Amino acid sequence: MSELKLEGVVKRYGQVVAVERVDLHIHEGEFLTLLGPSGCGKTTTLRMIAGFIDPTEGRILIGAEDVTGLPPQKRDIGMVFQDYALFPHLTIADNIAFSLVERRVPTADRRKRIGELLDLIRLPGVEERYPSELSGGQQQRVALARAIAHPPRVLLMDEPLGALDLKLREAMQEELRALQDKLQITTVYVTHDQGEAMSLSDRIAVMNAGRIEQLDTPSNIYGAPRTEFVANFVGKINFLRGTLSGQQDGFALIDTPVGRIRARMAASASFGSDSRVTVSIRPENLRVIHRAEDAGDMNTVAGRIVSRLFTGNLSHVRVAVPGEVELLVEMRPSDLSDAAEVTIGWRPEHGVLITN
Amino acid sequence: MLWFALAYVFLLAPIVVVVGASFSGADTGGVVISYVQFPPQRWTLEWYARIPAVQYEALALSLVLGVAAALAACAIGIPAAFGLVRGGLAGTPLIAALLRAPLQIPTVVIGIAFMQLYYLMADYSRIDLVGSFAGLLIAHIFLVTPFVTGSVSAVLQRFNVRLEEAAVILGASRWRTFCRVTLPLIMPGVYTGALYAFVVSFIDVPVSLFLAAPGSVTYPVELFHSMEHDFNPSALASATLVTAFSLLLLVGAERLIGLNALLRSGAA
Repeated sequence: MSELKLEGVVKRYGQVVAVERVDLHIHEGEFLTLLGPSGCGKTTTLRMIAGFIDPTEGRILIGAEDVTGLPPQKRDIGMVFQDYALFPHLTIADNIAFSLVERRVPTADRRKRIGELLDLIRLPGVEERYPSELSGGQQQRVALARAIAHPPRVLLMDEPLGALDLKLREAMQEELRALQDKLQITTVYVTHDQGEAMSLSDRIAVMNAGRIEQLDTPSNIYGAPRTEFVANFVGKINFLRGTLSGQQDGFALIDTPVGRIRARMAASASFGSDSRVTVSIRPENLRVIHRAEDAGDMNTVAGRIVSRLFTGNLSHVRVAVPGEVELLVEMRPSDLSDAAEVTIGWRPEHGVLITN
Repeated sequence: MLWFALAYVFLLAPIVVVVGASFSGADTGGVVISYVQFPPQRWTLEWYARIPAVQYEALALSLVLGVAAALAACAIGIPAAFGLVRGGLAGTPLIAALLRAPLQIPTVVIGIAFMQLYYLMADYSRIDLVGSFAGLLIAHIFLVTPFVTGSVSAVLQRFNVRLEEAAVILGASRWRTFCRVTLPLIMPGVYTGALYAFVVSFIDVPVSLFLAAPGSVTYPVELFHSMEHDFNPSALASATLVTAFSLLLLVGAERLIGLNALLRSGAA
């Protein structure tokens, strides 16, 4: 186990930039997720850490060692692939012991380690079976056991749950999180599934077009997205665009088509007066205000319901407000009718100011 | 069902006739009739006893030749397949077509070409391959290598390269990865190609006909000559023995390859 550093890592294929510039410092034992849509550079970044691709520029360090240019087999990295990549001609035991054989671990120690790992992934007794005899979820657990059989300095996971169905994926998420808590292996995880990233990670690096848009804890990525891309990619979100007109009581004042509203200033961002800004508000932070005195110091805006979508425990209600904007409100199912005139309100701290 | 039955009759009838006739003896007052009779009037094993010794020698030579040609075809064809599928060379389709060329040249032409080449070489250098086993082997390697190249290429094209990446990241060098992962997984293609290579070499007449000399006559050529000069059912008897041997070989190969194919299918 070691810390992992990427310093100014760039990957270009001719004129095409796959990874524009990535700086990352992953702490020892940390679980970091590279999250983004396909083509954002997350897999390229992972493959550069593994050593399958050489960066065009920049350095990669594991612990204090500069591994840039070192072939993958000398990096002491574990990796779990999306399609498992278990060796179909070898038994489960031989699959798991693959790295141990390469490192000339004696047979008795190998057998002991295989037993430990099969207990760890709760699949005892499958030593002599072949991968094709196991289910997808079982194969993925074996792939994980194989990756950590010789304790790696860093564990890489490339959409490891992508091929599993939803129920199994959720169960595996919990299992992975529990294993990570137990083993404390420095882990880089790649996914395009924001829910998976949220529930597994210590920190998330949201990537877009070859660069990291925001590197933060899951709660900050969700609650305080710094760019529109991050806000949009992670969960549902409303945007209100406007002009920054000043500050009051620690809140920013923004003139928008729905009137002057107050929003939280992001600690790290600085905006000039009169600059064009966007306020983002999560649907679950918007409410319908039934009586004017309930509004308190909330931002309020009048609108008309245009559609309702019942999702089980909650309703997603679209409300048209001035400025040709529709706000998505998440609330408990109610007896509001379509086309009803309503007032929508939200607390100023729930509006997050982000750069355009 | 009827269609399948007809197909089987069509495919198997010649073999049945050959095998049946090899056991056929006609008693005409002590004179043995040397022609083919089917169905046999009288069952006998005497033709088996009359197989000339020279045919066994030729058979041994053909077996050695076939095995040597198949092994050499693997030694050349496997690297060639890797080059074609993974080399990323400009002009790969052209190279592939050239490597396939021996399959498209009439085998008689291959035989004549090699014969002329060997005579030329003997005239202009000290290398005399005319009528030698080495000369025969070289021509057969030329003839059969495309089968290995083709079948290994086919397997490689479907090969999941993630498996090799997995081996490398687990600490295996490129060579170790080849030995522990790549080679075992392409073995079905190697077996298939090698089997074809052996069979094509073993049954070849046109190429061997021009290159064989006393002492380096292959089995089918020997059979061909014996039927030209003095046809009698001993040739059928010997052919029946070889057919039985081939059948055993095929069943063995099928079990070997069949097992591998089964293992591959699930998890790739």
